[in-house]
Amino acid sequence: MFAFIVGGIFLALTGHSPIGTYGSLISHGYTSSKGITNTLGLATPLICTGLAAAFAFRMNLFNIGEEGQMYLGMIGSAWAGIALAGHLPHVLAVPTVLIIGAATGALWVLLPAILRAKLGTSEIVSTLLLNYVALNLVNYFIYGSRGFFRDPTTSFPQGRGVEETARFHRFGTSNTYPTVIIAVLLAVALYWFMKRSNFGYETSVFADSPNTARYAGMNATKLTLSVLLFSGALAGLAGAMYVVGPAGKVDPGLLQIGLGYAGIVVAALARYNFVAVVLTAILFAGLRVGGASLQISSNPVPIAIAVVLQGSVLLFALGGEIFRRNRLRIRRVQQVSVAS
Amino acid sequence: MSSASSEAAMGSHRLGGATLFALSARQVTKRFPGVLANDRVDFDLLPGEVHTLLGENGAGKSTLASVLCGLYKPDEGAVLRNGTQVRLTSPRHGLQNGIAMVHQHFRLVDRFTVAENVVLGHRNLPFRLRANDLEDQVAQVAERFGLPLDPRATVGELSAGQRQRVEIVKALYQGAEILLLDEPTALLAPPEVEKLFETVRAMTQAGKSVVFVSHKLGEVVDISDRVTVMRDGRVTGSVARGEADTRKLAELMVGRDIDLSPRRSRVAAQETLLQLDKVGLTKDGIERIANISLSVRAGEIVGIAGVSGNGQRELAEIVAGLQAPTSGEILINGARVNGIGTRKVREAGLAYVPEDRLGTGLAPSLSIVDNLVLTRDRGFLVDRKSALVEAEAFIKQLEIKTPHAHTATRKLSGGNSQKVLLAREIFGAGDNSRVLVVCSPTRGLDVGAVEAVHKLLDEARSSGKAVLLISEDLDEVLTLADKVLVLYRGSVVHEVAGHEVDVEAVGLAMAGLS
Repeated sequence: MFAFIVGGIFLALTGHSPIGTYGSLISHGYTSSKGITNTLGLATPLICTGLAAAFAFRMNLFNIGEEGQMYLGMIGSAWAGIALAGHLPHVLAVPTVLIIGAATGALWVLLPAILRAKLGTSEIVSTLLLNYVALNLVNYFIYGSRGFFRDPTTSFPQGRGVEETARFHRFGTSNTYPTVIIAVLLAVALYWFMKRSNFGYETSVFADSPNTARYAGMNATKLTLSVLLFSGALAGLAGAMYVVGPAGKVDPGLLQIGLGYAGIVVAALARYNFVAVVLTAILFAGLRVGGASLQISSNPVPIAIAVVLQGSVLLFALGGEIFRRNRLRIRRVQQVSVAS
Repeated sequence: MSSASSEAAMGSHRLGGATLFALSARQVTKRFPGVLANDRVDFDLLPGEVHTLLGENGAGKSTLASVLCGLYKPDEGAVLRNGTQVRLTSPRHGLQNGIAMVHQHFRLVDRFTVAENVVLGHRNLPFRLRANDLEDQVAQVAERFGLPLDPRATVGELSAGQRQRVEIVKALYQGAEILLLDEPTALLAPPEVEKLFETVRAMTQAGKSVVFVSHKLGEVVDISDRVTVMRDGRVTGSVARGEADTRKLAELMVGRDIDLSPRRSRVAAQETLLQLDKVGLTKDGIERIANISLSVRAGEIVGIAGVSGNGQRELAEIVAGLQAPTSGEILINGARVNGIGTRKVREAGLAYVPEDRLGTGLAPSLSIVDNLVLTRDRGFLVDRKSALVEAEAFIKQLEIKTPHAHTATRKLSGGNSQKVLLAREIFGAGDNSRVLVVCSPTRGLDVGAVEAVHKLLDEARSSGKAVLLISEDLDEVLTLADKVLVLYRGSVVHEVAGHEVDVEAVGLAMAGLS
């Protein structure tokens, strides 16, 4: 709420009517049919990166590399879409592409995961640095070489298209693809799995108290490895969904929108709750879509406003979190002083 | 129930009314949101007196001490210093009136020297500090009260006992006439406790008064001239030395009869279930455990006594499979279990209650139900339904105080979380589990909870389990064990049957003097 007030101040300062702008932001982002489908389309990979971040956070592991894992997922799935899809029966083509994309995403986090599990190296730094490697890898494939991923039919640098069988059809004329259903189902399935399964139980024990996990004979190395790899796979899936959906190729356009980093923000806002990730991702994507369309309205508002709004949403949400915790702490101190 | 004794005590107060009390509380009431921490409390302290304020956790004794030293303002009632009312506004103000408190958790700057810590916060320091002068002054104060301290030592490098001395010297340096000590022996080794008592005697001889705030019956009570007992924010009795035994005091504290008398095996011990044969552990070139052999039979408790840090932790972790011994053999039910890992040791029949309840034995943020599943074989999906049934049964049987079975264990009191842990390890571990290793099970617990824990361990023994009790609390070992072993620097230096224990010999062995 405060975030919108701060955003409003910025709007007023730059000479726009806050209320009118918010009105059109909401209509372009959520309430118009074109707006909501655009939003859902953008939210689809964002849900996946959000789930990826939340999944690792659950075990106090900070995978900051969703961005890079997503690029690798895009590369891996594009390879599968080009090289394998033609040889596969129709129904298997899309799933194969998605799975291979997820697998390459997981592969990208394998090295940081092993370093973390075996040597305790900070996964924050290693995953973050690999983002830059991944970014340049994509650039190289498209701009730097005449390689496999580049479209051979034109001299314009763009990705080679995957087989038509390896792509989903959009819903009608919208920008939403069936992958959104997969993403939502995935979130619900993860929610259930982490709540009920032994794996979920062990991660929660480990996150709460590593000593207790050791006492109960849980294998910390195995848990760390599998959580990070799964997180990487989810991020890779985001890239794969981009390929089977709107892009259909290795598309450097993905590098511009920072869905990996946004996923971390979404996960933090959702307090690592998988179902909440879905809603937060949609909210966030709406701000983006609405913000983008404001640029081309009759009274153009810079996209920066949407970014300012995003930043302030995060800031105030985290600030609110601190207030919430502090209030708890004050109460606890009083109880202790009474008790002892 | 204790009105007779408390009236008698009040009577003696009135007799002493002619003398001037150094410090008194009159009808002090202090409320916190939802809690009445002090309810019309009276308290009197004579000059040169050692007075213990005894009560369980939450009885209100620390609140009263905080009121007396100026940390809290009473909602109602008054604090009297030498018979005149004082309105203390801060601990500093309390100090100006000669009242100082030493908190259980020391408030010292680790990187400063002893002398720097002592003069810290003193108002009338010269602008330019001359380290030598200060150090001499501090050394003088320390010497006068028999507190050996090097004023140049860095506080971070001192032992708990030495830090406590720094706190006391600090209070004395700032002119304290009345010293309130919160749980003063909690962190000290026995020789340090003796040193503390010498200091206290030196202080009382100089006319200063000392108040111990404690929840433990024991040494502190023994050297007090008077003991005032609190329960639920009220004073339940005040008795002079020699007027009441520990049992009576425990009753005043808890409000019911407490049985802390020795419990011994009532059945003949049977087959050997746990055996250690010449077990040793060398780590980083240091021998932590040296050549320990012992056996525990079904239906008996073997107690390991010793001062903390003499290999207790290592011994427990070796038996529990958390560490592999570097030499020797461990047999559970006749099967060798060296270094096969905690899960397999459990399968072989071991249950383990570690010293650190929350943070090792239990996952603090998880619920009681989830903590009961911790040591189970869980399969792919966790079965919380049966665990819930089990949790509710335990809550009822063991009178675990909790809102419900889904409450996080860290929200429980120490005694209640220990009950959860013991219940899981004793009753929840299956019929195959017949060896129980327990470490310091009553550390930090109330008298009532101690009784409950002892009863549980006794029940485990009677049900035919072999119990290895490793505890730094000698009284606990002597109360429960059928056989007592003393651990000193990683080896067993003394071994005696529980009913033949010579306390002095055990004490000497603990100090490494046998």
